[in-house]
Amino acid sequence: MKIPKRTDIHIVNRHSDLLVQEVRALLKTYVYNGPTQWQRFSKWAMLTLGLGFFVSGIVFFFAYNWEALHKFVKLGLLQGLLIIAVGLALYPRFSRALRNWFLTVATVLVGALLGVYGQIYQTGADAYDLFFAWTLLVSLWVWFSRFPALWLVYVALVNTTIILYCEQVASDLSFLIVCFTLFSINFLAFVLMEAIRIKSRYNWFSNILALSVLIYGSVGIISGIFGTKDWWLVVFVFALLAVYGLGLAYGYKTDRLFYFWAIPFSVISIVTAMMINISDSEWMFLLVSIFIISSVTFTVRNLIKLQKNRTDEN
Amino acid sequence: MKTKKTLSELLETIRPFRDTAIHIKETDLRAEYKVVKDNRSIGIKILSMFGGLMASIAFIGFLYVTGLFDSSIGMILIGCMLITAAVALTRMHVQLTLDTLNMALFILGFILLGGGLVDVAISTNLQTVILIIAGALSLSASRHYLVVFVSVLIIHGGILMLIISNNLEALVYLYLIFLALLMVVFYLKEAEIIVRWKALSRLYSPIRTALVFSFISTLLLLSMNGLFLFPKTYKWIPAAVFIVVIAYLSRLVLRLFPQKQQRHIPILLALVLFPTLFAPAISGALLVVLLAYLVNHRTGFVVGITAFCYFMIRFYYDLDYTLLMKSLLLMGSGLLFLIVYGFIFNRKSS
Repeated sequence: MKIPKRTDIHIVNRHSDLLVQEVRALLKTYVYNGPTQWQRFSKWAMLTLGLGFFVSGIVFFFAYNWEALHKFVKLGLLQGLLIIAVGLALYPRFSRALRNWFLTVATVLVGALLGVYGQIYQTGADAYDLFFAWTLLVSLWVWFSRFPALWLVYVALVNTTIILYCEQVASDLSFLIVCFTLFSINFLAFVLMEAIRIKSRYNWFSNILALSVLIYGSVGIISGIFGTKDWWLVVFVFALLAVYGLGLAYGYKTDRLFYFWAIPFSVISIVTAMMINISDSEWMFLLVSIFIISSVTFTVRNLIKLQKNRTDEN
Repeated sequence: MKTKKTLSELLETIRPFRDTAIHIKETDLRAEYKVVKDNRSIGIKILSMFGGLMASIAFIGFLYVTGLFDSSIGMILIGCMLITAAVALTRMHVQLTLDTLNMALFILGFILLGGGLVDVAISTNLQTVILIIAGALSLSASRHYLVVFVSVLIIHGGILMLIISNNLEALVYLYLIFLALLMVVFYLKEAEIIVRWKALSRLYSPIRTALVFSFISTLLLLSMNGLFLFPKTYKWIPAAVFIVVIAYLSRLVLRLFPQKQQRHIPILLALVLFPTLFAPAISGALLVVLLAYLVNHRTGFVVGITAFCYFMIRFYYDLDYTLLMKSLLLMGSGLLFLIVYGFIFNRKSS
């Protein structure tokens, strides 16, 4: 049976004598969310709101650096909370999703603990040290959880560590090389996560990661185009071209349209930057606008063709 | 395009919804499915939108460098021509995939019209009203998702401009309430709207999405402290309206359940939201989330959730308490939600 989508109902309505109550019944049966979805939604909302508020409350509490609180109490409180969170994450009677959320809370608490430790003992460490230790300490949890939200936190941690390291320690590195490093690391993370199949609904996790790879790639290359050109730029261009190829092949294999609009978008931005770098005369601007319109139209046309082939096969 | 098989399957699912026969003009239906543009993925829409935007910016660069910007009358004339061309393109029932060109012409037309109007010696109000009228005309004449969407946003921007440039900031609250109620009607009366105005039913989806964006952008404007002088005294009025509407919506949701549910949930919800009475953005974003989830509108839902997170962070950031108080408040509200969660969760398993 073919389940009608909202567009289907709208289109059939335009060419039939359907009455208001019939259209409403159709929408209610096939499109609108029913009691089961609402139950799931309210549970999910309560849990994320509750954990989110509670954990940010804890982080702010220790950020306040309350003088009256002895350092033993501060560290003890955080470690106690950490043990509770890990304990709840291991409690077998909870659902897998709930346990994963507790593990995510524990991951955030590790960061808070390291922060408070640095605050009390004035270790003199750079901020990147903290993030590096944080990343290392939670690696095992992340690896075994296979939970997309936690992986996202982890990738954000890795990115922050690299960015802070480049700012505070390796500050002589060019912007291009920083982008290239982030581009490569995120690409490797993407490959790893696809290989061990971390699944999320609508592939949001995989798409965010792929998008970050493309953004680092495009921003890096564009900065190279307008900046000083060295052989790193050549390496970067070839790497990005390889990633484009792999991405398109992967998108074709896994039937994900995302790659077929995200990659062309990156290409179009880079080519536009190249054209403006060559000349900023009036005719170049005209040429650029014609180029954008024709290339986007070309992409959209192919996307539609692709989408059509897919629906016809189904 | 749908194949014959899937189309007849679709009609087989729809026919049982009436005891007698439903009259369907199948040839027209097939013809529309051939040119249907609505079921395109969000990616294509984003691509077309940004392509159009980038292309028009580049073209503006061209006009600027060549000095075509010197004549305001010329700009107005070219602007009107471009808008007309874009709208006319949308009415052609050919299978054109020229979304980007369409968008570029349309946006460019409005930029030229606006830029030209600025130099003409008429009042700002008149300039804005002319833009609003142009937006309304293209809204009613066009049949294209993105053009309709942008038209609504242009009208919305014009109204905000009128309010701010005349120093009538208090009216923003009235406008917010108006937008919220319009949005509620659009979401809840989907069937009525598309059946009563069949010809206009193509405009339904883009208008609804544009309303969400207009509403959220007005809330954003309100949350920018210091930039505009919105009187703080009336802030609670829209918030109160939103809270009442949210309580009403939660009643609608409860009615979906066959068994009798807690009757006091709407009142509880209103009580929980009471502390946000002077932050209408929070209840406003929540209103969008609930509406969009009710009718399963994904774009509205994502926009609502994102806005809700942002406004929540702003709310705590702007609170006039010490960090310690804020952290205790946060932990307290977190615990409250977790207790409610535990309550629902346990009741279900027992």
